[in-house]
Amino acid sequence: MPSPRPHPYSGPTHLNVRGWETPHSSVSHRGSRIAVCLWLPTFELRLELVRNPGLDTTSVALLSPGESTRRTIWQLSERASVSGVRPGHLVSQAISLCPSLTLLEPDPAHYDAAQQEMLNALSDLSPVVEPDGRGRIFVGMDGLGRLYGSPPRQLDRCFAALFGIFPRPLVAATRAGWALGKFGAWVAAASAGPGAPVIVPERELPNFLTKCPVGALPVDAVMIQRLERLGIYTLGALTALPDPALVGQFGSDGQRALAWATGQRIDPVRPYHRPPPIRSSLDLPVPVGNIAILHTALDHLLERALARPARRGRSIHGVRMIAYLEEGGSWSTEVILREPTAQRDRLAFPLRSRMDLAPPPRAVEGLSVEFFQFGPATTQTGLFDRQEKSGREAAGYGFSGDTVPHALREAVRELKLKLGYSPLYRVVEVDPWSRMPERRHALLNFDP
Amino acid sequence: MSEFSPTGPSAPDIQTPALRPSAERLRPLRTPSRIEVAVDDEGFPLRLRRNGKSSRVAAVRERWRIDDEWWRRPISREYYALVMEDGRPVILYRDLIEGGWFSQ
Repeated sequence: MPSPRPHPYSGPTHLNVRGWETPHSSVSHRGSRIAVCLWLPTFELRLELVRNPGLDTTSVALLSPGESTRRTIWQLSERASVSGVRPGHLVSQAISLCPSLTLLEPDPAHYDAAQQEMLNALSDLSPVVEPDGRGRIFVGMDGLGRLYGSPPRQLDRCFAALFGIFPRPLVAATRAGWALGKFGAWVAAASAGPGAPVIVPERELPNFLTKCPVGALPVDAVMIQRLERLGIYTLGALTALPDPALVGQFGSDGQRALAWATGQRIDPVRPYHRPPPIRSSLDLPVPVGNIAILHTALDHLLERALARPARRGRSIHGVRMIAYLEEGGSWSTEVILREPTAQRDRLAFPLRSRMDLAPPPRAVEGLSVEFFQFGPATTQTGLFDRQEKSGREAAGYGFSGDTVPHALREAVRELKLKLGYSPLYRVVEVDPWSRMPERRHALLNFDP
Repeated sequence: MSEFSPTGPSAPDIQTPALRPSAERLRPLRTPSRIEVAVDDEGFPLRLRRNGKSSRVAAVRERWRIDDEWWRRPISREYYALVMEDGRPVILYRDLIEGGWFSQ
């Protein structure tokens, strides 16, 4: 049976729930309460169409990234959707539905660069800018009314900033919403048309929210499904429910959903802070398709990036690998490690696995490694860390004549003078996967 | 219940091809050391004795077997992961070829 729920806007893309899980955000005064949401639906596909204007009048689909054997459709143009193709369809299904469909490989490096450009341009406008996935950015407008004027003028300034970096069709497709809090601004942007922003004054926010579908709530998708099964399709219907019933069904999620739906919970836009990434790149002399060579290049790049002075005192939590492909395009994969590390092998292992599972689709002309999320200095630094704060987390593997910290070298020299030999050892892997425990590791004299 | 098992041959040769090239500098870790074990009727360890001190086994957490290197010098071990009465975890094995118990 078709669902009777109303859709006041065309793209109820679910918000990133994790990014909103900030306790006390309704009372926090850090960040900006007045929010502008700029949303460019199917951001990646639109960037491809800007790059290849000839495709604008054809049926185009962007393949999903990160899959090698069962490629599926990620985003598609309106013409393609008229033929019945849907996101998530297998390529074979999509081609059978629309034989003239043009399939495009994703180019994540290009999309990330465009997103960063967008962030930079909007950062010139407001100090409080927060991204929420590619193509969706919140701009805080607290205190900027006297500088930019009324809300429509503030939105004009946002669009003017985008015109400075993007071509006209891309900016024209951007949807914008102005409201109190990120949730209100997002719902406003989602209900706006291209080039027709929606402004929701503070006192009208609760009334405005009542018409919105529950799918707009930044809560778990399972909760949305359950609400819809219970026949609750709009936020208005949700607010009509008694408080205890919601809490009884959904616990604290229900309470939060109610706070959002009634406009009581205002999530401020928080300033986006990301430390400058550490990047190391390598241009390959000839395009390479051999995975083993790429593995070696990856090791080399990781070593180079780890040796950067900017990395000292920090371990790596998030690492991204980007491959620039022959005849254009890119391939990328990123890993958030469970525990931050500064060991090359521990960084390389997940990247290698990803590369093996979903290798770059074409030969690689250049490779780049980027550390984008950092952790604290590792804890194994007590002995080795008298002069260099970063320590030597590699447990001694990487020590060679030049890399041994001066303090450690001096300590060994003193011990040798006293005892006649170096009493320090380091643990080395001998056969780490051996079934015999005594063969896995050994102690090696440490005498730099 | 049998008494403490008779002492078998000396500790197994743990020199491996991987360790030999620089044996004067490499020291293997977790080398097996001989231990006296009293077993029950089914062969499960009941008490351990080392350096004259005896301790009781509270539980056998896990048991597994390793058979390897049949092509040169066969290795066959039956491992036990034990919890001692004082809460210590202990891993030991019985050498199924040459006999004797070793903790590791």
